[in-house]
Amino acid sequence: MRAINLTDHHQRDTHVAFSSVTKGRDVFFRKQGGDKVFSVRVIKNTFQSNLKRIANRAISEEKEIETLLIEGDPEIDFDYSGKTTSSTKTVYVDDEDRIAYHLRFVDVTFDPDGTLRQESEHVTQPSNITVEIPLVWTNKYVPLNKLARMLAFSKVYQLHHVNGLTYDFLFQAARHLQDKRSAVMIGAGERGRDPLRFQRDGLNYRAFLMGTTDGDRYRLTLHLSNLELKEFQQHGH
Amino acid sequence: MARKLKLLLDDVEYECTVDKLDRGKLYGHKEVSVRATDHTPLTKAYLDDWGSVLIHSTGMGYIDEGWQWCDRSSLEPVDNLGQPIEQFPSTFDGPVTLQQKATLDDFFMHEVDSVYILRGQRIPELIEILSQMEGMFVFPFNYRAGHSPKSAFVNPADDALFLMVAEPTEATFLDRPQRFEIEDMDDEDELDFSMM
Repeated sequence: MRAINLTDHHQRDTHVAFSSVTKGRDVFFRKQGGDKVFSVRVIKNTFQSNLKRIANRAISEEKEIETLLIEGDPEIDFDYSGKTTSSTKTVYVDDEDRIAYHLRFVDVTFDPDGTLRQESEHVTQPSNITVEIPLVWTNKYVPLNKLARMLAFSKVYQLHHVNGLTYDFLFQAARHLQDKRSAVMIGAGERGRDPLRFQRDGLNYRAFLMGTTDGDRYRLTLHLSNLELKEFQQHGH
Repeated sequence: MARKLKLLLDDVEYECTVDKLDRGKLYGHKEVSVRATDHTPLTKAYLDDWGSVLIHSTGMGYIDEGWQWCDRSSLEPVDNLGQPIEQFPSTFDGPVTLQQKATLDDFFMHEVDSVYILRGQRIPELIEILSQMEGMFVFPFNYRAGHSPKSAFVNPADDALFLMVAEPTEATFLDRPQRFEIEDMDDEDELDFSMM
C-alpha cells in the first residue's frame, strides 16, 4: 500500500496508507467445449507494413495504393504480423523510421473548439501526496447531496490506518465528516489550493474526503474528480 | 446518427440523445508532443522483446493450450467459478424503466468512467421531476451488447440531465486494531532483575 501525508480537522498531520478499491472484472473466456484459453499480445503490423510506407512506395513506383495492396499484400509483414510479443519498449522514430535518441517534449494546449492555444516546453510535475508539506484539510465542506450534482468522481481510494495511533486519527476524521453529513476538500501546497497528483506527470485531481463509522469501525474514502457536471458549448465536431 | 435512449417514468416516455461530456469539451485539452531537437515531430513506435523490429501496432487475442488462435466470437464468457455468463443487450435496444433508486452512499461508492448529457424535447420536464426527488435513479447500462453491464445514474445538475456510467468499488469498514492485554502489577511486586 502507498502512503499519503494528510492533516485532519485539528490540523494535525500524519502518514497513513491508501489503496485502490476498484472492483476487478469477473469475465473470463473459454472454448465451447470448456478448454482454457490464454490472452496474448500479438504484433498487428510493423513499420515495414504501415500505410505511410505503402503510400510512399506507391508514389515512388507511380502506382495506385490499391494496386500495390492487391499485387503483393504489403500491408502484412509476413515475418512478424501475428507473432506474439510479451513486452514492448516505446521509442520514437523520425520521418525515415530511424530511432531518435535526443527528444524534446512539448506541451501543446488546445481550446475546447480545437484551436491551438499555446505550446510550451514540458516541465515534469512530481507527485505531491507524500511530500514534506502534508495535504491540507481545507475549510471547504460540501453537503453530499450538493457534491453529487457538482462533480464526476472517477477514482476512489480508501485510507487505512497503519497502527493504533493512526486508527484513532482516521476514525475521528470519519466521525467528524459523518456528523457534518459533508465531504471536505483536501488540497495540496501550503494553503491547500493545489490539486492532488498521485503519479509523476499524472493527472491533477480535486479531492474530497468522505467518512462514515459503524461502532468501532470506520470507512474513510478519498474521491477524485477532474470533471465538473456542466453543460458545454457545442462546436459542431 | 446519434443513438436514442428511451427512459420510462410513470408510463411516460422521455426520448433523448446522449452526448458525451469530457474535459476537452469543457476546458480544452493538452497533448505532449515528442519532437526531435530540430523541432520535427516524431512518431511513437515499439520495439519487441528482442529489439529486432519496429512495431507500429499490437493487439490482443486468445490462443488455446495447443497455441492455436481462437476467434473471440467462438469463445464462451464465464465467471470466476467457470459458470456461463449471460449476454445483456444494448441499453439503446429498448426502453429503460426508471424504478430502482440509489442512495447517495451507493452513488459515491462508484467510480464514474463516462458522463453523457441527455438531450430531448421533454428532458426539461424530466429534470423538473427528478430535481424534487430524494436520491437518484439507477439502471444497468451497456453501450453495446455485452457481458458486464455498468451502472448508470440519472443525475439532474446545472439545468441539464446527466447520465453517469460507473462501476462499483469495494471499500469496506475497517476494524479497530487489536489491543494488547496488560497484566496488572501491584506496587509490591518485585521487579526481577535476575531474569534479565
